Amino acid sequence: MNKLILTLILLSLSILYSQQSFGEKDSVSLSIPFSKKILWGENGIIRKLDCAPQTKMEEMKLRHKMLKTHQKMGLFTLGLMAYQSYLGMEMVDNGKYSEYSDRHQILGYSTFASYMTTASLSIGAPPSFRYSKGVSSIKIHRYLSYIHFAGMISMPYLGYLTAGNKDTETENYSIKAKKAHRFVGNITFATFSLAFLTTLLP
Amino acid sequence: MKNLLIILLISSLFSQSNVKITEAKISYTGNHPFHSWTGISSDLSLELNCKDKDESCDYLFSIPWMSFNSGNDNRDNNMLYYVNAYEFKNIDFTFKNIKNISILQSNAVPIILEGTLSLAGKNNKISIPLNININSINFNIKSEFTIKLSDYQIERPRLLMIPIKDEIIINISLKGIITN
Repeated sequence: MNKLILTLILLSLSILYSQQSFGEKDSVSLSIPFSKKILWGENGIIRKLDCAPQTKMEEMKLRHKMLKTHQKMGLFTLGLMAYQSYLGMEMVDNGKYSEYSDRHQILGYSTFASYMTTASLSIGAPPSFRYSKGVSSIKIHRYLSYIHFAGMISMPYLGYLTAGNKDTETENYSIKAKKAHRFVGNITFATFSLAFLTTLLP
Repeated sequence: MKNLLIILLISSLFSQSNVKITEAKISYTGNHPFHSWTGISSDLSLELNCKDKDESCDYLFSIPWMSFNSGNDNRDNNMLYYVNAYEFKNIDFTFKNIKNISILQSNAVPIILEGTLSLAGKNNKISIPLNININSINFNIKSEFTIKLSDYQIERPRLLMIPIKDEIIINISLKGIITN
């Protein structure tokens, strides 16, 4: 069980770290994130497929639309996560498992889908005209996303295990999974909330 | 003798080849209910066209939009979108037929300079206060004024569906030398 969680976390971290800047010179001390280079670089997938906008201005408009939707979807996802977290606590702490389990499951899928849509809008958006070095609120926002993305990847499976779907007569995964599900859920919700709050910073 | 010195100073200060801006800082400050921010540029170019033996000049100050840095690349990118920076690459301040004597006599006394500000393809008349200090060969110019985005038909960016304030505070600080 622990190995499985560890593998999932490592897998998602390896995907996420591929998004980090690697210092390609664009102009003065600028670097474009790797994920942007893969999608939007000179030989990026989107350009190869001839799906990229024709002009820089159109590219900027597309980026703007995608990030605006990312912002709205993020707020919506935060709401879903907050309610999902509340349901989870009610189920564990107040013994309302049978009352809320179906709702928690359906809302879990919805939250996951909403989260992934939000994330893909940011990952897939055309690159910024500049990527400066140093710390800024938007970079903290991105670093926090590495944590909540890893958490969100593992949450559905942890939920699946918590529901006892893999329990056998000899192995009872659900007890351990319940703790992990709650722990990872809290970390995911906390880092997602912090990431949202960083957007309010200057 | 004093008058002669002033005339010499005027001609040396404003003849195109003799004015050198050594330090420029142009900033804009925007406000949103959650925070305010300042974008700074030091990339200012000056085009001078003087006439009547340098008695009056046309000044064109130009600042590229892309040179502004607010410490958040995403926000700067957003700003470029709203001001249509790929089509209208610069902010242009144009002041025409400025009498150089009036500028020189204003040393340490604020004056109002009237001109045109071009933003995002829209030109508007603008009056800006100017504080000029001339000390030997060095000069120092400062100005602070407010513009409204709505005057230039620039849509106000929103954060969490709340738009930023319409007023943007502009600060200009120029330092330079007069060489012979």
